[in-house]
Amino acid sequence: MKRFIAVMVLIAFSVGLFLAFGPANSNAASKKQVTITYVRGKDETHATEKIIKEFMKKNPDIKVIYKENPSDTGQNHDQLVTVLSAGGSDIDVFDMDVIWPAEFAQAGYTLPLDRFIKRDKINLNDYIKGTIDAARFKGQMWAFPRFIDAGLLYYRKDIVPQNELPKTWDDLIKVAKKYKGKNGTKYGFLMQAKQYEGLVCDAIEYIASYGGKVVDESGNIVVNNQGTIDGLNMMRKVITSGIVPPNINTFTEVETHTAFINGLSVFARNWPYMWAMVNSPQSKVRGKVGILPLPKGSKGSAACLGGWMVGINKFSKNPEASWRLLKFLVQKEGQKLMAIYNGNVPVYKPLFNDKDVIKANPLIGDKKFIEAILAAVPRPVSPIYPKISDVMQIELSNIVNGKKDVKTAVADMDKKLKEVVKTSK
Amino acid sequence: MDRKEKVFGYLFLLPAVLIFIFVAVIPLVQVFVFSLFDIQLNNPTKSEVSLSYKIDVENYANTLFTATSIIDSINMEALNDSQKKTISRIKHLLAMMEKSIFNTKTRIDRLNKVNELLNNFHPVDNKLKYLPVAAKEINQYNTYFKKIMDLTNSLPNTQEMNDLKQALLAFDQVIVKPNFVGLQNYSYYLKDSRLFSAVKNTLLFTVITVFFELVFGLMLAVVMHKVANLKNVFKSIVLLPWAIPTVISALMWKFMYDGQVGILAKFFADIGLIKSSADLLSSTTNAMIAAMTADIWKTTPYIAILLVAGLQTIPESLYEAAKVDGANAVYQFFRITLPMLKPTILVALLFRTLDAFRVFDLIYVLTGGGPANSTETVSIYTYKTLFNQLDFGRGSTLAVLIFIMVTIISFIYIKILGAEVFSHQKR
Repeated sequence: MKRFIAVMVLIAFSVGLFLAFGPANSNAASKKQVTITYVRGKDETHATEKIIKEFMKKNPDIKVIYKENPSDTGQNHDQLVTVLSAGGSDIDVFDMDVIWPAEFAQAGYTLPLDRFIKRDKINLNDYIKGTIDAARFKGQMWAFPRFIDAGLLYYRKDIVPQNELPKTWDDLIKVAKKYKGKNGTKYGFLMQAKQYEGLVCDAIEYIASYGGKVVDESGNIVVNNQGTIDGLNMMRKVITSGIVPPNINTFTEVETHTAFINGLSVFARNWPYMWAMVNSPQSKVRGKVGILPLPKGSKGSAACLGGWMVGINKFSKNPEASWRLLKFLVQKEGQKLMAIYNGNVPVYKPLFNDKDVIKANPLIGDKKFIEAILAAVPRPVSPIYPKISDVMQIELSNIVNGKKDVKTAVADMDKKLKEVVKTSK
Repeated sequence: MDRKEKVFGYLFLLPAVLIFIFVAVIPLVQVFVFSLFDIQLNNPTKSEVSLSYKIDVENYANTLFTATSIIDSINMEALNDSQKKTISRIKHLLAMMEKSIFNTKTRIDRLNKVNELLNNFHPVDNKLKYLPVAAKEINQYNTYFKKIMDLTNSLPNTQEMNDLKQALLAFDQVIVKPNFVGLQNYSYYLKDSRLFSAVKNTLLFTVITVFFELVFGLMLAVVMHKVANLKNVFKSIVLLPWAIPTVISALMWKFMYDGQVGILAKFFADIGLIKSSADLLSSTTNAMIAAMTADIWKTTPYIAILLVAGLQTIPESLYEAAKVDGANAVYQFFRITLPMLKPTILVALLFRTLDAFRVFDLIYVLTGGGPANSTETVSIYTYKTLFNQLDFGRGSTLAVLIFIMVTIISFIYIKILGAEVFSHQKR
């Protein structure tokens, strides 16, 4: 009996608390202020908090709650999909990896932004074209780019003389062979060749630099062409030339930067994030590293497009306030704050000449870096990207491991991709 | 009286039966039903079981908005007369296409209401969103859609026109079709070479790991049984690998196998077991062997503990009698220990085989299924289909297939190998 009374008291107490603080609070808030929730992957630099504070100062009628998802892209994806596929409205604005918009658009998770863009007369030509293409699916804009990533070639300034910097993939093999072993290095070149998403990125760079394509503008599979075969032959050549570690097929970004900052390699292909690591106190190659655009194939140099977008949950209760936050994040002000505090490369082109931005992040003032970034090629834009990537990972891994010759692997990839696209229509 | 008691007795079983139905039968039936449909969670027209035609009004309104704003923004000056004609023909056909579906006042009102909500940036709820329509109307809609696409394809290949084409293509995505496919998913997997190689990998993994685990486990068990004074300390140490969560032990092995910094990789290379320390996870055979080694290390203690329990049930008097008869240790092991241990061994084998057959976390962490898909097991294939690609129809099919395979394995064990163990009551 005693216990029963205690439980009843507890219940009464919590109901009282709820009545006192719960709805009353939100009522008061909704009169003056709307509350929206913004979710992104973990931000180690805490720049996002500063940007949001700035936004709230400018827009006192909007309160932004900021939440962080895991930094691992895959886990972040799965968490978002769980909330969004249930039609939840706990999230209003969220960051998306560059490969998600088509999938999220098709699934009906994100709000199409065309009506907003038209109303507010936003000029899409101010943004880097590749990122706008990645945000667009079936003619509609489903997200807005925030910052861009692209593959880069890191090299050891203390080993490779300026006049021998590689311009083509063949140069790279030659130079890497020549200097491999110098100044404590063991390998000539590092890349990502494990069977995972990163392998698709690396392969896209070889393919695009030889003019090959995986998917055309209308979403048809066109992978079986000479450009793709030439590109992947070059990838195979790089892997078998003896300049990469023998277990290159277990390398992801982590293995790459670990080996590179320990001074084990002359060259490395990685994303811009490694720049900060290279120049950190833990690095054994601090101040000895330079960057270049990736080597050229027969059709020039190409980097794989990475980066993040921001979109609005279709089930958001406050699309208007969400749009204002999104607009702040992707327009001049938000982009500048992000570039300064976060060190990311903005997608808003006028900022590339901005003195404050260049001062905070010298890479952005580097012509070669901007050149590499602007040459970035998106991975296939498709609502079934996870399936396409899966097929590509398997066939590319077959090439990396010499299980199939390039021609057969490409033909198999073509056949399987066509089937995947056909069955998902 | 007797009868009543019997009924009463069965009543006690009822909760167990109910629980069994709820946690085992219903989900299984559900998975089976899903496997008969083409369900793709990231496709709004296929995201649930649907047996009739519907139209997604919200999607339609958005597509129409984008398409018309692209058409309106086209620079007509740059086009020649026939192209101008094509554009106006497309406009006309778009209106006709709309009329084929929105042909009554209530339907038109509904479309207007959705449009109004969207223009004011309000969410559209599911009741408004999905409009059931007749198959005949869909056919009409599709005829217009085809005509429009044919016209668009005849336009020049400029950026503008490509955008228009993309936007128009989306009109195909607003219809929710019935997605029952019957046994098509099953027939797909019967011809799927990837599934066959996954099954092959899984069986290889299962047979080899279970064999070695049994041999080593038996050896360990005998030692543990014999060394009386150290028993408890020794047992805890032996059990350690089993106590570590698989994901963590998999990560641990990954570090030890690593070609640059891995301690095991270097050791193996130094003693000449492999050519270079980089070989361990990077060749297709070695990756499989590496995964098996990690699994054997992890689960041998489990079998050992099970077998120790079995050993303790063998009466000491049997050995004494054998000794009196002059049997040596080897003879005792094969004539007394093994036969008496048979029931325990069979139970351990059944557990381990089923476990090994469903192996997922170890391989997922260690190799992710690579290199060149050489370590992909059926569980990993199912995971990728279900959660990475959100293909619920095909994924459910794979789940059902795994269930069937596991049932067959259990059946073989119980029927053929363990006949006497499981029917001991009859004896």
